[in-house]
Amino acid sequence: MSDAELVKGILSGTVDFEVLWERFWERVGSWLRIWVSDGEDRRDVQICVLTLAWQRLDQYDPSKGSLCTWLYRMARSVAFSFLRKKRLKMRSLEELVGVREPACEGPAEEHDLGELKRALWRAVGELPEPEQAALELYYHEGYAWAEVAGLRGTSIRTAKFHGARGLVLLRNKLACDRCRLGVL
Amino acid sequence: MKNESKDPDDIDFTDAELDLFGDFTDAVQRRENPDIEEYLARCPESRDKMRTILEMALLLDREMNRFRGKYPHVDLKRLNELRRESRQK
Repeated sequence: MSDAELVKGILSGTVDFEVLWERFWERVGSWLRIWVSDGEDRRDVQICVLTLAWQRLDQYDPSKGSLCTWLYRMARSVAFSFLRKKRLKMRSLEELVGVREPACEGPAEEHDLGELKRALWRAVGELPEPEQAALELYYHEGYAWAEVAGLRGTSIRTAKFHGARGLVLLRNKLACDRCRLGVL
Repeated sequence: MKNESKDPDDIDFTDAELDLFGDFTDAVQRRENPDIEEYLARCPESRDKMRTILEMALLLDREMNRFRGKYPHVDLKRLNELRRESRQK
């Protein structure tokens, strides 16, 4: 999937944002090493950059540059803002010598995501709201079924029902995509 | 007891099936490595139907653990909140 297709898919709701997140997570981290030397701070900024990208994705204009460049500028802007606020020391100029803006495309990028992962994340994102929410709360956030029920304002039985139904729909979607799943 | 949710795709579950599903997923969540066959033996009449679901539960759990291991600092709760807000717009 090209970056343009990715952006279009996320904005239309047919592609899950995690696909963009996974595609650019490592790259954003490598860019941030230029400006933020502390690992913990860098991870915080990394999350900020990708969260901000999600919130502002509709502002991305392909005619003004690649998605990679857009994210790079955003990463730089967020990093500088972070450094100003925290009054952190930037790496010395010597360390920055030779650093170049990373290439936008490459085989490593495609290697980052396997077919199964892509299909699974996409399929979860396409589930009806009750099933999607139940699975997100249970699997992503680690709540027990009783807690899922409480958060959703349903009975435990209904929470489990949505979870089980979500898995059936997920399996059907993946089967339709003709994905080869190791356990299926 | 009848299901509280009407399923437009005719996917329905008995109480025994939902109990089985809940017990199995809870065991997975507790990292007990539950044996699928052992759980399926509790509902032999639903063996094929429930096998698919339990296998999917394992798959999803495995992928989530892989994701968490790779991105330990990603706040999935916040991410989901943003996604839900996005879906509501």
